[in-house]
Amino acid sequence: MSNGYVNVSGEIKSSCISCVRGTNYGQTCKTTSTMSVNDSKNFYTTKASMPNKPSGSETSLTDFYCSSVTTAYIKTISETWSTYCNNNDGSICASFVCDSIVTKNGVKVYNFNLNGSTWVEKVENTSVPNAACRTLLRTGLNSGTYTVQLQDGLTSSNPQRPRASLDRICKTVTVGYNDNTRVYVAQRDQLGLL
Amino acid sequence: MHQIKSYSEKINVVASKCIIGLEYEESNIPILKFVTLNPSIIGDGLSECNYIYNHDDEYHHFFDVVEKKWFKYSEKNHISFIYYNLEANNVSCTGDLFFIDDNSIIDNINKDTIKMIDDNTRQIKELLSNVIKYNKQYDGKLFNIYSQLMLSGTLTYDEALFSSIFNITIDEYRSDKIQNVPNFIEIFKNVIKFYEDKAVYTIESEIQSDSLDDDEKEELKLIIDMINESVAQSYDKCKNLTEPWEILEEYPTILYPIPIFIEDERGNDSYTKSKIKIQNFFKK
Repeated sequence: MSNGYVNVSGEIKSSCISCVRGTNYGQTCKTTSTMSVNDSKNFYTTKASMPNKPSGSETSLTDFYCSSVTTAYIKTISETWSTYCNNNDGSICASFVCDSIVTKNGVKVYNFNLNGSTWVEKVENTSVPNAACRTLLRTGLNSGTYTVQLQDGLTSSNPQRPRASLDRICKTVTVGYNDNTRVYVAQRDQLGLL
Repeated sequence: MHQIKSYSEKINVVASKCIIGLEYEESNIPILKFVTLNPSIIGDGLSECNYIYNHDDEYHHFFDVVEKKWFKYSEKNHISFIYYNLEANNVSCTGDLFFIDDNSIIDNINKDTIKMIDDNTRQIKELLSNVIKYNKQYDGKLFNIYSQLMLSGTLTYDEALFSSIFNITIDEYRSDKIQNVPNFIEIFKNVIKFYEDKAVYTIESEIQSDSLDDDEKEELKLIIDMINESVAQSYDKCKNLTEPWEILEEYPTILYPIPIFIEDERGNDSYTKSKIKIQNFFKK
């Protein structure tokens, strides 16, 4: 739990429940540590969309088995300083935390978007782990601010969930000029559910 | 409501509607292909190896829109799928493409993507014609690598042009060591010669003009001599140099401005810029 996501294997234990309850669904209603079990049940019934359940049906804790909160690190590397000009050699490297993405049919799906309408989708076959699949590197960048959007492949493939922007991580990052390397931690405020 | 059962199903259904990008690596070099499974784009006669919806467990099968041929790639290898022009057409995420049935949206996405492919093709043709202008002995394999690095945004057009003209290998950039310096110098001399001939031709054309008197013509001849002399001096200085950036600094001042693919307007040479970018790319 200390890493900020619910473990992807094993039953959800009581120690995990407070984390699940504290998860912000980005809706008007938020769970709190003082919420009653009944309130929680109602909350999950109305707010949590499960892939295989009709909207509004009851949700049990076991439905949260294998749930996770999408987490990523974004590193920005500055442009190199030179006497005459900028070199346009800044870069942005976005990396998902592997365990924060749930596996479906043996694959994890990672979606990346940098400042535009082009989405890059990478697929990691869990039988052939490959860190490169979790990472998108963009080089040759000018200094400035960039919007990085990240999303797992499950929420985006579930027709019962609204395609709201809160389904994804959206982070504004800065590529400096002759600046320090910056590392941003980005976490979605919703659970990804199997 | 239909659920997407597997990732392969999603890709097949989306590709049956749209042109998507595939990015993968061959010998660590990024390769970008535009592919589809949409029969109306593939066209009649080309679907004889019809893999549409016929997904097997080992390979992704797609039709390469640029090369007009079928292409397969092992699922086990690392591959990125690129979805273009989504937000511009009010599609909020890649999963939505699976469910969209509105042909006008699909048509718009494909129209925008085809425009982008045409731009890329035009850029590669232009790159090739410029490479040939300075070096007819260019290396085809290296040209393909640098054009792909340009399309992937790793190098700019001018950096790809420079690298292709000078036949610099990726390993040479990574080790910051040119193996065949005399050849590098010879190519640099060809570039200088191109601009020397151009300058001399312009002046000679002026000399032919009836509007100039003899003194003015003599002055112009003197300038031609100065150009020739300056170029010869540059050639001479290059002989003893080994570092690419030092060699490139010997571009004759009399022929300025220096071509932008050699050195940008702020004084940074393309060798150093390309080297830094390629070294950063392979650090990932």
